[in-house]
Amino acid sequence: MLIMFLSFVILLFLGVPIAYVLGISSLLYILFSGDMLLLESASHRVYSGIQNFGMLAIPLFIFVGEVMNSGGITKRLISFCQVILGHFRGGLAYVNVVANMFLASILGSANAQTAMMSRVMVPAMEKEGYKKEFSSALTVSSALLGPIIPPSLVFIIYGVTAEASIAKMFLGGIIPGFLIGGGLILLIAAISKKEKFPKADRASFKTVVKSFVNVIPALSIPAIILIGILSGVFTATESAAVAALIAMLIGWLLYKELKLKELPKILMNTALNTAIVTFIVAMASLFSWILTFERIPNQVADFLISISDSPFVFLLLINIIFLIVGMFLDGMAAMIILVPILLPVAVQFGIDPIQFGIILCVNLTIGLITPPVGTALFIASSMSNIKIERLSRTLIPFIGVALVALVIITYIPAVTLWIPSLFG
Amino acid sequence: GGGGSSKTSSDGVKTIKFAFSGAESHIHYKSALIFKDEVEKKSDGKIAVELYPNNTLGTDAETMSQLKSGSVDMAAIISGELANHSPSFNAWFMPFLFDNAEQTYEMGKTDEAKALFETLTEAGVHPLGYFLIEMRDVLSSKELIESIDDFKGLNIRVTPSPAIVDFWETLGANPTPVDFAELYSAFQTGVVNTIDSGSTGMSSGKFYEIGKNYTTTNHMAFNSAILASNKFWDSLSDEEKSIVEESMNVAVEQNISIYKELADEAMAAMKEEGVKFTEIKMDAELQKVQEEFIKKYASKDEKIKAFVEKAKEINSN
Amino acid sequence: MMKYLNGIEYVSRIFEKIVIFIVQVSVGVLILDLNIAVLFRIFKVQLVGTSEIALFLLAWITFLGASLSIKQGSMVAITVILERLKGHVSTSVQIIIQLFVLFFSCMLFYYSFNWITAPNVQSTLSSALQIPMWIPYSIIPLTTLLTIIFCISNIIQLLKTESSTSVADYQQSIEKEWGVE
Ligand code: NA
Ligand code: NA
Repeated sequence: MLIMFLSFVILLFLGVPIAYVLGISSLLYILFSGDMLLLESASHRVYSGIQNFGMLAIPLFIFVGEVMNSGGITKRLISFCQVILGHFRGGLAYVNVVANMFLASILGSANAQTAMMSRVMVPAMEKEGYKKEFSSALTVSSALLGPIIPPSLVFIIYGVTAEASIAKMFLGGIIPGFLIGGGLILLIAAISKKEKFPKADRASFKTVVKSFVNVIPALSIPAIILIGILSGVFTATESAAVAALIAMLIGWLLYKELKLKELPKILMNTALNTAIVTFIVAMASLFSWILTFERIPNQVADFLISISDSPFVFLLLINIIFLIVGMFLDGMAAMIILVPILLPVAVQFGIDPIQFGIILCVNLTIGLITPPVGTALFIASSMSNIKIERLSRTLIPFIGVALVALVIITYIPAVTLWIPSLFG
Repeated sequence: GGGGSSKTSSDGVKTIKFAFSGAESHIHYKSALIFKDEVEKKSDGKIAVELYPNNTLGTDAETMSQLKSGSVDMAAIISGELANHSPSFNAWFMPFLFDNAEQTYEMGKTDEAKALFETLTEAGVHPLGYFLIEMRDVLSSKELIESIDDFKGLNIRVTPSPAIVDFWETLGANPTPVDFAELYSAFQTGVVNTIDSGSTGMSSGKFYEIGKNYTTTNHMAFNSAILASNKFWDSLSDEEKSIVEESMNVAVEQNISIYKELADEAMAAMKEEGVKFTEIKMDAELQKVQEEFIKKYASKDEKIKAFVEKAKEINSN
Repeated sequence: MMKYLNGIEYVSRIFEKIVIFIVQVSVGVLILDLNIAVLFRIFKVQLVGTSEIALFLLAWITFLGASLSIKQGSMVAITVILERLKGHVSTSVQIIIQLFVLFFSCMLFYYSFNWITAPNVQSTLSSALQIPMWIPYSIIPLTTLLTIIFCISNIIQLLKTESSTSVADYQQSIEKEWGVE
């Protein structure tokens, strides 16, 4: 077991791809334990780790994201927000948050959203006179809404690993998403006077109408996803496939910005970005399988139960564990390793699997912007050319907002469970 | 630590890794627990059993490979998976063979049922018997199904075994394979309007919250085979083998009473939720459908033929 | 010797192009497949095999895409330390990383090949379409083999940049590498 842990840490910081860190540590464990029989089943485990219907939504939502950029959908969403909110003090900062919330209702990953929005919002805010650090920090923390407001890739992975309903996870993420988005807006409001944030001229009524008409087709994508989940026509996964087709048609035929000759590149990017996620899932399921063979989950569970029998303490404890894990580990991998260990304990404490899943996902999402290892943080820092240390310091109040939201999500179950309960 | 195949630890205790589907409330778990207690008692603690419920070591398909390689020692594998390895296991999916769970349970103990294991030549497993899971019925969110004509045009959720799909198509329904994780919402939104499962499955999945019409059809048996890895089995002494066999016999004996308890609980829970019940009884029309369906499979497979004959004998007693 | 090394790089470029083509088609077919399933359901026809096809495609996309990202160096990794290294040390560490990936892929290739050729797997059929499972499974030995070729090609390139001492050469090689598309 020590071999597995040591090789994990060394390989991780050496710079071996995370998926391979998981695979090689599992392999080394098998080799050192002499249990060569496990090797014969390892390939099958790697294959089966991704053979889940829910997981199919991952390439589909990634494709939607790719098409949105090329098809001019992103652009129209942002300009609509600008027209509505631009004239307030700190207008562009609000636009950033709200546009991120809109985007989040179509996209499923914070990293994709950070890359997309850093490219657009940070230069725009800088031009209007905002500090670059602030602009970048606001963009990356708003982009965290990507995986919290449905659809969401981490919710899918949780649903798959925990055998929980992906549709319910999606519904459960709505209020937490608005909570964090609202928190960010309050933060901007609180500092906008002091920081003397700029504001733009009010847009004419005609511009507002025109911009709104332009954005309607784009808004049909989240509408389809939601209707898909709530109506009988298709399952949550299939709704992603339909959204993919619609997004393509909107960009191609309606906005006329998506050129068919771009399609091969979009398809390749989709495949590559999918593989990055699903290959980690495959390898993490190998890693987690070895842990199960070793009965580590049982030992961790026994240990956690022995500490305290209060759900309050347990929730505090898992939040601390998740935040620490989120500082170092990739969210997807952490999910697959931790869920089989901690979910049964959470259920014993009477915590609903949906609420538990959202607590876990929000934690690991916050981990994307916390140093030392945070992929969204890295993306934002490299795209706006700000040193990670500097950006991290600017991010402190934003992380604070997310943590307050996390406490609310953790200790008020209704925040996550109320909307799913409306639909059974 | 150890891991892998049955290893003897420093204190001389041999460990059996026993894998299966279903959580702690499932009949698999409860039956496996009896086996565990029996083995540990009979061997004076010289043999320990580690349970791996809920497919934590992998799907049934993976568990089959793990039995072959010997990384898992024992497993309960559902007959649907076995049919992917040998079509003879479709015998268990021949419709309307058994009127109730007892008959299915009795069938599991016959030579004709055990003969199916002879077809698993490449699997590297030693069979130890069958666990009954439950009898298959239907739950509908549309209307109460009172005759087989009512099945026409229904979107019925099935596990995608060819024989099961074939059966529902024969009755004129649309068999729809929906992943179990998506089933609740698919049922709720009407992607499927009927579920093919047993009372305990319907109850633990809370599908009665949506479908209020339960029809007892007993249209198929749902069970699993208990298999030991050949590598593990050959490593046992004769004395150890008999301990394992005897303990499994005790578990199998109690399996039927566990089923009855669970099924009663499930039915009571559904009644409390206002589910309406009815049943479909065998009649001439149904018999015709059954005979034609069985003929299709039995004419190609001697083992299925013998199985069906034995089943009819049990049914007529 | 040089000719031989160039040969590997040449082969790996060709494989890269083929893999790119296959994953592009797979993503396209996946989207169509699921939409067709929905469309048929609207007209009350149930297609039994669509989700199985979709899952096979997901496996293709995952494992082919993973070997492609080894070729293109685009996999998620923690490079905080690697980024601070310079010159020989950096190249050596990068080669070590490639060697680890190579080691893993060789092991997985060997065992997955044994797995899909085992008689018990050869006789297993998929539940819905009843196709032999070794066919979808063979994506694992296939892609681990690809990854092995890509790794070797990466190592050769790293060794080449290592031997070309001038900074200009190094930059040129990077431009060449990324200018391919
Ligand atoms: Na989202
Ligand atoms: Na982090």
